[in-house]
Amino acid sequence: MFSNVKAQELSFNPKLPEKPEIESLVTEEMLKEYDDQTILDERFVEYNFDAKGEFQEIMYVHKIKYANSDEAIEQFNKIYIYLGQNNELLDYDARVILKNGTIKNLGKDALREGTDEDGDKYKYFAVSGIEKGSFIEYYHLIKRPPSVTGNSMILQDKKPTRVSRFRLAAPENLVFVFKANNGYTQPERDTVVKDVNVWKAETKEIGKSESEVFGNAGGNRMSMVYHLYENLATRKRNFYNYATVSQNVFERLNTEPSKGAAKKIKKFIESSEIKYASSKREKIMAIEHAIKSGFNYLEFSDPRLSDIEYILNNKVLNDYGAVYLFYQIFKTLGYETEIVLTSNRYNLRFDEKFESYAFLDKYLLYFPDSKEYLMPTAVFYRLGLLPPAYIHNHGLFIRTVSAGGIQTGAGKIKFIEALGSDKTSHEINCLVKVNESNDSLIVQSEQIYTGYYAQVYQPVFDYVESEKMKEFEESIVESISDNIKIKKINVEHKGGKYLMDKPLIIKATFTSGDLIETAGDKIIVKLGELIGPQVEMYQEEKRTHPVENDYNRCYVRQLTFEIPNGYKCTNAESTIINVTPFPDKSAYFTSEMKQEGNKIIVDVKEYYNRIFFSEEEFNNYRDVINAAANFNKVALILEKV
Amino acid sequence: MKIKICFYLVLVFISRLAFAQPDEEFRKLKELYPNNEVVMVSLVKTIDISMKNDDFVIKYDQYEERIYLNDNAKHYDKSSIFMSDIFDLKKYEAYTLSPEPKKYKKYKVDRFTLSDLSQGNIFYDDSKELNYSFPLLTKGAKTVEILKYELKEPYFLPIFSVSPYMPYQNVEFKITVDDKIELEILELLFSEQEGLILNEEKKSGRTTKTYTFSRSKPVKYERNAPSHLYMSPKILMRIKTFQTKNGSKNLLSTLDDLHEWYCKTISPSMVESDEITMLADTITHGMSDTLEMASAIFNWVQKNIKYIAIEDGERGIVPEKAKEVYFHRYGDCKGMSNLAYHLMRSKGIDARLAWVGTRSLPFKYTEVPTPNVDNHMICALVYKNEVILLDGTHSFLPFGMPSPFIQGKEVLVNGKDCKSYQIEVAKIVPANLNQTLDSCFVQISGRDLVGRGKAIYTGFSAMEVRELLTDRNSKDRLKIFREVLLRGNNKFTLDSFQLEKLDNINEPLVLNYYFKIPDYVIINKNESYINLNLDRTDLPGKFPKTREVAYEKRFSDSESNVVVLELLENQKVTTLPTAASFKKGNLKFENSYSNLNNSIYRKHYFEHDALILETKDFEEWNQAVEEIIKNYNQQLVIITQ
Repeated sequence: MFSNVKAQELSFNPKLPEKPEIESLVTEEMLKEYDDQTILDERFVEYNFDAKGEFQEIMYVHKIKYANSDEAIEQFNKIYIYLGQNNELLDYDARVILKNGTIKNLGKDALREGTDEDGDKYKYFAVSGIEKGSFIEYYHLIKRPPSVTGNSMILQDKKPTRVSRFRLAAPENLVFVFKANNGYTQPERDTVVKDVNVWKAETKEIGKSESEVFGNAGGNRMSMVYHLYENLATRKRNFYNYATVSQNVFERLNTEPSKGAAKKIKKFIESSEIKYASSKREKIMAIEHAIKSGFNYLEFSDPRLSDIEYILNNKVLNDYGAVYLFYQIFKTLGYETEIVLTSNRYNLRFDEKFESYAFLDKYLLYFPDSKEYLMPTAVFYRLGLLPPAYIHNHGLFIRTVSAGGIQTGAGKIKFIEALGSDKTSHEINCLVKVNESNDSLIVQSEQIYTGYYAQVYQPVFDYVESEKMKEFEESIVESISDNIKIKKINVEHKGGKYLMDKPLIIKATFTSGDLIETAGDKIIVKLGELIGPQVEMYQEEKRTHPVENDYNRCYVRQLTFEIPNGYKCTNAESTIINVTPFPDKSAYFTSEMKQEGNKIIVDVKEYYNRIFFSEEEFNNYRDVINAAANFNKVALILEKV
Repeated sequence: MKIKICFYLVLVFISRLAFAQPDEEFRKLKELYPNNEVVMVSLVKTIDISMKNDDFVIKYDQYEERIYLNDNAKHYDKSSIFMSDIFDLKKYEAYTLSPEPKKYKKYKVDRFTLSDLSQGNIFYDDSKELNYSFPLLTKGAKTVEILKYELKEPYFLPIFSVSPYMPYQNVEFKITVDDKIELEILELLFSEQEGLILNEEKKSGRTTKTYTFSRSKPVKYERNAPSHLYMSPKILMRIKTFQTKNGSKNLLSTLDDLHEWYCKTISPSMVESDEITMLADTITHGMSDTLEMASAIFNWVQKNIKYIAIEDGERGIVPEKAKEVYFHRYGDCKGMSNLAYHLMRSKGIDARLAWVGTRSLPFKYTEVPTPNVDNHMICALVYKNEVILLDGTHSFLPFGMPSPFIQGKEVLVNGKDCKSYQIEVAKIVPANLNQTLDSCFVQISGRDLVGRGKAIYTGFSAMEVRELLTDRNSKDRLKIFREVLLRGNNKFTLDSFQLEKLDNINEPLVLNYYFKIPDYVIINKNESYINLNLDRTDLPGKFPKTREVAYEKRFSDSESNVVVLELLENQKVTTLPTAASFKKGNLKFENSYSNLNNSIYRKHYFEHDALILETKDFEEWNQAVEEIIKNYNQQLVIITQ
């Protein structure tokens, strides 16, 4: 595709300028604002040909950082250069610019090498002699295998950046397309540079990306997505489209397994726990449980780990091996599945308007008849439940189509809906009495977990050592309140195989001296604490992100309190709290109370029916969250009759 | 701690199982250990010490075989092998024995990756790790690891021990030594071992000692447990003397020998330089008092040199030169101590280097003079016949205090110019020196409590708060103090705070704060109820009966708190909660209320003066906790007229 273009040099000068470019970028006042900031962040990508005429990609990173605190200095002691296994470091330089302007060149000795746990080599600058108020300036130039099919680059991090520059250069026959996200400047063609195509974008004053409760800081970071669109020399364009990738992915996953592998699949399906599952859904769940709880998922890219025969013989696989295995098993059973490719919304949201392979990060399987998803690589999740990163996001759905007797894959972008709030619930039902000596509560409790709440516990039961099981079960009950004495506990539906099939039910009887206080001859019963500690947003802070929930959810509680003989409750109505700020009930908290004889019955409902709440809606959302935290403080007053 | 070994002649049920069929072996072990998921079926540690041409040849081998008894097996796949310049790894092998109906099938690990031990910021450590994964780990599978080392340093012999956290059988410790080498073997904590057999054999001028034993009931892992070395059986070895062509020579015959060798290891680091002298002059400019100068130098090192942690165990033993540490601005404990030492020396201050083992090592120089006793170096100041210990690795440690993790430990303090030494014991800092003194004044405003407070932190308590604040901006600090203070309940809102003496680490830290607790007051007609225990001591809670190991704390501490509720003229108290005052073991608790000019004073004191809570103390502790909670659960009753 590229052979008719001549080899060329870099289209820019990577060397550090003699005089650091600091004054033009930042003023003294701006330095005072943060002790730890990035003054300049340049990322240049250049595609060209090496001396042998091989197409190559050069990545240039140039940064000037400012360190005016011990913490910042500590971080800059070691500046990593990620090389992975196939990248090559071509050139680098680093220097420290002290407060008084003295420049300390670190020289070539500053570069050191290490190896991480996976055997990947990494290099780093060992930066010494930094004092408070210093600038650290460095660049490195890396050659990497050229990738033009769809790349993404995150351009915002935990430090504020004063000036960020993105630049991409390519031979003059190659045209790239770009999509800048979350406020980064869209690149424009630089027409001044001749003989090579250059696109540039500069963005100033990028704030630090800070995580917030109920916010998606990662997905809201500024980023750039780009790929090669057109080759003017061959007059071909739009190479990397979803139609092509759909066919390729389809063909790869439909690669006929060897005879031995096919036999093994049949044998696996015939194994007792799968064979006797009655419905299709049960069969899928049995298969999923057998693989996810019995096979060892490894992170290597060893080809054996995606070879079905090897996998089924040895019970080890890697991520792609898992996808291939699941897909082939369902195919053997004649179950229709669509292949879904999507991105992690906490890192890079799938942009349905910009076709890019950068979004095709993770595989899901979709069963169109039941409209349920399964993620082969998520060992703690089961059919119907995806990790929150892969919901409420678009995806490329590839279904099987027949054309001229040949089967192939056809792709379509669809939205991966989050489950409704009723599918993820935590229910607490308590019958509460006061003991005879009026210094302890006796509580009969029942907790029911479904969906994402059950997911936190159910698969974990498979891994808890039997001698620690009781402790683990008790720890779940203790999440309601510390310092309780558990008298009896019974747990139903322990284990990953029940997830999304049967709820986790924990029934426990316990006593607590913590939930009861005295005020003279009155008794104060801290009834609200029985719903457990709640997330709260009392301390007001400036909000930077809109709300983006992990999933929809609901909490349902029924607290029944038996007033002891000889006492009356004087403030039962304090249990009534209603916060319903959204007319469409996107999020609400209600608690209703009724009295029947000596019983006070409180019904609490708290629902979050939407993933996204805009910045304007934030205060209302917070009110609902805090309503639950307020209920947590509800205390009943008992007076002698 | 030294115990006498009894000679049992009990049939150990060793190797009868060694040739068993996998299913039979699994069944038997499962029966024996129904609650455990891993069993060490064999552990053989062998050391062979001989002389060749007056040089030591030391071979150290290890064979480890484990079996996995449930489906959690797959989570044990990751493992690693330690190596360093002193522990020269010559051969290694690892494999899985996968159960098949008649026999085990061997699957070798074919991929080992070398990584530096570079967690944190370790730059120049020579220790390395070989990481690998066992294939095919299923229920009933076994793993085997075989290692062969050559030890390059006769002073540094390994400690033979076995983890107390899993059952083990067929443990064999075997020591072979030339008769011309006098080796002391110290056996510790063998009393709980089952079927202990000790065998001694003399053959052609060599003696072999073999210990075999097993243990069926492992220790349950608990948080805040003392280091495993306090629980595991172990053997410490020390070469006292050896014969050469020129007669007998000492190696580690007495503590004198250890000291002499240590002096040799530090001698290359005893290099004076003008830079150090100049730096010391700058730091102590205008000072003449020895302690003032020493304190200034120590603080400079704490503040300006970044500590880089080095793994415990067999580490490099030579401190980095003072000038290098100064230039790089980072160092490990040895480098930092050496810099402080040289800085003080250049001012004529009698500083010394000193070796010490942290509390995780249960050994004493006076009992076992080997390098295994210590893992840390500090600087010591001899002033008017008193030894002041200075540990620069803690940035906020007040001058004159030992670091928390060496409290109560023996310190080997070098003499002047290495001609002598002395043993000091690092003092255990009593609870009343690590104090939180807090007083706050509150008023009722509707249902809210509004107040201002002042907290003073001393000793380690001040150090800990300063550690929390390192390089945090004011927004983060507000969050941190909200968590640290959290008065009443989580509606607690910290409006503002102000710190005094943050940078003067030798002085108590003072915090002034303003806060409110919305809806804290319970109103019942004309009565108001308030719990004035706004600042309940954060206790580690009650210990369950199942806990078999002691609870270790970083340091002893105490809290003294006063809450003053200023009432309005129309408010009168009708009921004051009852007071409590008791001492149980090392725990002291006092809480009392008084009414003075319509202001309610609640005075609270809590102290736990111990570094360790032994299991025998748990019951008393639990009773105390219960009494404390009961006392806390009383509200004040106020009538509004």
